[in-house]
Amino acid sequence: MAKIALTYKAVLLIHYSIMSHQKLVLKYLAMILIAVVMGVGSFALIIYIPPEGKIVSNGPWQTDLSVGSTQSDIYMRARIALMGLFALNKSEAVYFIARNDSQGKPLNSRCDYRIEGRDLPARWWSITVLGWNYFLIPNEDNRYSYNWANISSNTDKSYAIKLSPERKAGNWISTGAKDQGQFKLNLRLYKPYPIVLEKPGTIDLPLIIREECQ
Amino acid sequence: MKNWLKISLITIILASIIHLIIVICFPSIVLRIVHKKISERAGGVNVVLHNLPTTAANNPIVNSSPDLLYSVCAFDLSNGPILFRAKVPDSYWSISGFDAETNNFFSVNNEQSRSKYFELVLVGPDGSLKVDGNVRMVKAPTTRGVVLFRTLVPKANKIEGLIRTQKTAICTPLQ
Repeated sequence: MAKIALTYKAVLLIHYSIMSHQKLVLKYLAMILIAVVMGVGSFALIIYIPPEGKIVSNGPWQTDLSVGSTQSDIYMRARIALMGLFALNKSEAVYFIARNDSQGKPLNSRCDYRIEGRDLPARWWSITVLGWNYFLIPNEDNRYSYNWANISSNTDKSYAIKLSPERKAGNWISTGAKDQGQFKLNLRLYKPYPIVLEKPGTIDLPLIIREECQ
Repeated sequence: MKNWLKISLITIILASIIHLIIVICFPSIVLRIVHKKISERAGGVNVVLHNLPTTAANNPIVNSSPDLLYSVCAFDLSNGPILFRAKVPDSYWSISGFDAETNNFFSVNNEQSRSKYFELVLVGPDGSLKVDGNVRMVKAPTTRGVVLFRTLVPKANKIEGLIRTQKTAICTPLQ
C-alpha cells in the first residue's frame, strides 16, 4: 500500500513538474525528436549511397575488396548487413555490382539491355539481375542469372545476355514489368584469380549496352 | 539567438551520436534477428536448415545467389563446441562462418577439403580442443553466429543429385 502511495506521489510530482515547465519540456522533446529523425535519416541516406574511397570502379561495375572482412569500416559493415548479408571475403568471392549501364545511365526496366562479355578470371562466375531492393525479380521461367556453365557462349567463350521485360531468344533474363523501375546486376567471381585482387579496376568485365527504351 | 544556436548544436551532437550508435549496432542487430529466424525455422540453435533453391518466391536473404543451394546453422557455443559435417560434391562447395557482427571469420571450399566428407569443429572464443588430422578446428570470435554451406548448381539437370548432397550437411553439439 505504501509502495502504491509512493508511486502515486512520484507520478504527481512528475506531472506537476511537466505542467510548470511545459514549454521547456516540449522544447526538449522536439529537440530529441529532431535528433532521432536526423540520426536515423542520415543513416538511411548514407547506407544507400555508394561510398567513395575503398570502392573500385571498372566501367559500370563497382566493388569493395574489404567486403566480408574485419577491415571493412563501420559503414561498409552496415551496408553489407543490409544489402549483402553473409558476403564472403575476397579470397573466396569478389562481388561487382552495376547500377548503371556502360554509358553511366541507371539501369531501368523501361529499357532493353545487352550484356557482352568473355570468360571471367575466376573458378566460376555468374551474373544475376536484382530488383532495387536487392531481391530477385519474379519471372515465369525462374531464370534470374547465368553462370559460366549454363550460358550459351561462342567458341571463343564470348557471350551475350539480353535483359528486357519481354522474352527474347538466346540468353535472356527478365527485368520484370516495365514499371518495375531501377534494377541492379551482381557479378560474382568465386575463387577469383590473383589478377582480380591485384587489378580489380582494369580486368576485362562485361559491357552493359542499352538498347531501345519505352 | 544564442539560445537557438545552443539548441541547434545540442540537436546536431545528439543526432550524430544516434547516427553512430545505429551504424555500429546495425550488423549485430541484423545478425540477432536472422539468428532467431533461422533457429526458429530449423527447430533450435545448432540445427541445420536446408533452404530450397533460391527463387523470387523463396528468397529469404537479400542478394542470395540463384546458382547456389544454401544450408544454414545458427550456432550457439555457450554449451561447448559444435561439429559441422557434410559430403563434399565435385562442383563448388563451401562452408563459411559469420560472427555476431556479420564478419566472415572462416571459409573452406571443396578444393581445400581434405576428404569427401568434410568435418569441422567450431569452438568458442576461449575454447580449444584436440581433433583428429582430417577434422578442422576453428575458433569463433563470438559465441553466437551463423555458418553457411553453399553448393553450386552449375546446370539445372544436376540439381536433384546436389540437393541430396546438400542434405548431408549437419551441425550438432559435439558429444
